Amino acid sequence: MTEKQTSSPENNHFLARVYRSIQRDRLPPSDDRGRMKIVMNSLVLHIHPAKVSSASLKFTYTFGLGGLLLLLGSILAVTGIMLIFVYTPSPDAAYESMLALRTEIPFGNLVRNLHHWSGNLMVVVAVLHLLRVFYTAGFTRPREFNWAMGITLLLLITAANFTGYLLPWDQLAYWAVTVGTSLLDYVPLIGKPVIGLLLGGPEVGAATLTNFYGLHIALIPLAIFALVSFHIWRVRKDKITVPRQVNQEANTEKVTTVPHLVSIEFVFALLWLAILIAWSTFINAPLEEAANPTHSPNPAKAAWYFMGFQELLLHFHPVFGAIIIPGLSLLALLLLPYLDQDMNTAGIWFRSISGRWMALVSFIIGAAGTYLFVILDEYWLDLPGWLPFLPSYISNGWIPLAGIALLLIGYYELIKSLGNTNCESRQALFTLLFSSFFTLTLIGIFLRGEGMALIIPWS
Amino acid sequence: MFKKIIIGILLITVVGAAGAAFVYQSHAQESEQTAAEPEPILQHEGNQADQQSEPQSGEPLTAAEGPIGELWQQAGTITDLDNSGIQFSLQDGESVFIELGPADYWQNQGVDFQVGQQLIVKGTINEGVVHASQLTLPDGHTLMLRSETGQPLWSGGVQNRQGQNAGGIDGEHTPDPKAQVDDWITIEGSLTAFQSGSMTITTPQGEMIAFKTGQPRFFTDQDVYFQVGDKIKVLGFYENDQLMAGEITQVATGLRVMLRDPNGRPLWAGAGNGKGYGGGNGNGRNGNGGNGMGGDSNVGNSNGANGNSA
Repeated sequence: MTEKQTSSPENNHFLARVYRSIQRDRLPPSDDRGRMKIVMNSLVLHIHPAKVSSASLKFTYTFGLGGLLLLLGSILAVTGIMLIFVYTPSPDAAYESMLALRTEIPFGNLVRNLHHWSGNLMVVVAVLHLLRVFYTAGFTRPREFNWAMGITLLLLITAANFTGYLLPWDQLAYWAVTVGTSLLDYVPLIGKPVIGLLLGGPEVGAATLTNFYGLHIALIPLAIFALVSFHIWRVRKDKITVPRQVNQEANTEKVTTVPHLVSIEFVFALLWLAILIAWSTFINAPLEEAANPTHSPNPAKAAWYFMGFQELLLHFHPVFGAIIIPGLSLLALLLLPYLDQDMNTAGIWFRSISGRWMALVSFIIGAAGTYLFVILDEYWLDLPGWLPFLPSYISNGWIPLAGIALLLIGYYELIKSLGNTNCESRQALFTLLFSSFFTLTLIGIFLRGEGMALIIPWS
Repeated sequence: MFKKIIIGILLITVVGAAGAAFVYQSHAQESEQTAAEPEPILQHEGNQADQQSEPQSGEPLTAAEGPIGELWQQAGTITDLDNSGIQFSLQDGESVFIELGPADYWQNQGVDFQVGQQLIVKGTINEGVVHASQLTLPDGHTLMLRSETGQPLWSGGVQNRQGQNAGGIDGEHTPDPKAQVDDWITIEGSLTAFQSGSMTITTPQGEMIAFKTGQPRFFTDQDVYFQVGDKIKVLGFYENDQLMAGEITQVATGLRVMLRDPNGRPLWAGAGNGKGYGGGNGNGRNGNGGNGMGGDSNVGNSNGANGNSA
């Protein structure tokens, strides 16, 4: 209601006071100052600065991935709260809750589908967001710590998804979580205690469901909310990198956030909301038969985002496949911005034209090479068999890791020798490794059949 | 400098491993070729047969039997082993490869070969390959692998009564067909879950398999305690798509708990369940070898669920 709509001066006076107590700025704002004030005085819009670089509004720079993550987080919060009213976290009732959502509760299935697909999409978008920041050198000084925070958030998002995975208490959930948590078993010293703490016992059961439920609806969302707030605050403080082309100066022109950025975000959010609702209307979240702890599916696979790790375990000794390789990768990921000395390429996709080509080539080599290695390992390579006198963590852990490390060092030196900078070479190496993990994940999801046997698509 | 050291270590690892693997495989290949050469073995067999008019096993050699090859019997020492057989050094220093069939068959019977172990091998030689049919261990026990006609005992001997001890070394009893289990299988892996009456194992390939154990009290009574994470070996069979464990071995300690008899009958079913299963000590995954269980005790002694004697 606006002041114009009020009829009597008395009403006008009273209602205006109430309205102004809530919305202090006049709407719509008449000038830039008013527009900037709206942002500064708004809790939600305050995540943005009052003015933004006009160049950074270009959709193909950020693809709106950060904003999409916030939207998905909001959808998850709303649908999650709705689901709490229906769901009972006990082995006897959890699956019944799922059936009730599907068959009895009005829009229950839609809400569950929205929650499920938004959660899975969030993992994908978080990875894409990380890639976007990496490939535009968005982690350069002074944003190094925010990069680390982003990686922590990615891990938390995965944890949120994983804890939610169990809640339907169907076969898929039960065995994916059983496989997923068993990966922790390989972590020395703390592996078993952590499993005991997570599962509330030696196996997935009623206590596990309660634990995961608590983590899923309270602890992890709170941690995400706190970290996201900090993450966004740091983005505000450190400022987003300004996109530009190679050999071009950045466009320093600024425009007000309202309406330039907000209108784009609003349309973008509406579009994604429409897509998600449409998708959730027609595609049901998976629900298999009720969990049966005495009968595992064959193959029993982890959640899809852990399939790369499960695949690694098929090729390396568990200490290397589950701990050393993922641990080193995470460490390298955290250290990446601190190794970067080239501040002049921030905002340029792939740093340079050459960097772009190297990234493309590395992605192809990573994918093809990984697939080739998997086939070789499946049908020919048998290091433990060839070196039976060595302990398997040497023959099937250290030796293949050393071989791969040598190949990677050789690849890095080759890229550098072609005239690329250190940053471009590191980027090529990162791309190769990411592509490799991506391929392992795809192989794990789509090309592993009964007994985790490799399926050759053309055979 | 640091980088060079790292690269050096990596190179030494890879080149060293490649070299070691090459040398090892070449050596293994040479040994196999030696074993595969028919003439020396045949010649040796002749000599051995001459020297041992009464073989160490105490069983005289009989005439060659057409398609399955000539009978072959030698004493010697294991110099190497793999999943399909053993490299066997004969008393005159020659080395031959003895094919033993699938490793899980004899491993399931509690036989664990070691390099340096002495054996007497009885079998047949066919096209230069020695196929063992019976091994005599130093303690006098025998491991049967093939029938007299050369039929592998692991290839389903129940119906045709060719399972070990189907006629049996002790051969005193006939299996109850209603309780007979046709296919015992062995799985190995890490104990993933453990709850009343069932366990879940994760194989090295990542496959998770749940199986029934019966009453947990039964195996705690046998002083075997399992924990999640234990590496275990399970011998069992499928019944209505459900894997039933007959025997569980804790790999680290070697402790073994027996849950069912060779016919699949639960051993926790009550007093006297061991009665009537013979007092023999034969082998027999599919046969009905004696398991030596007394009626008062559910605990197996020297014999496994298979009633093996090896």
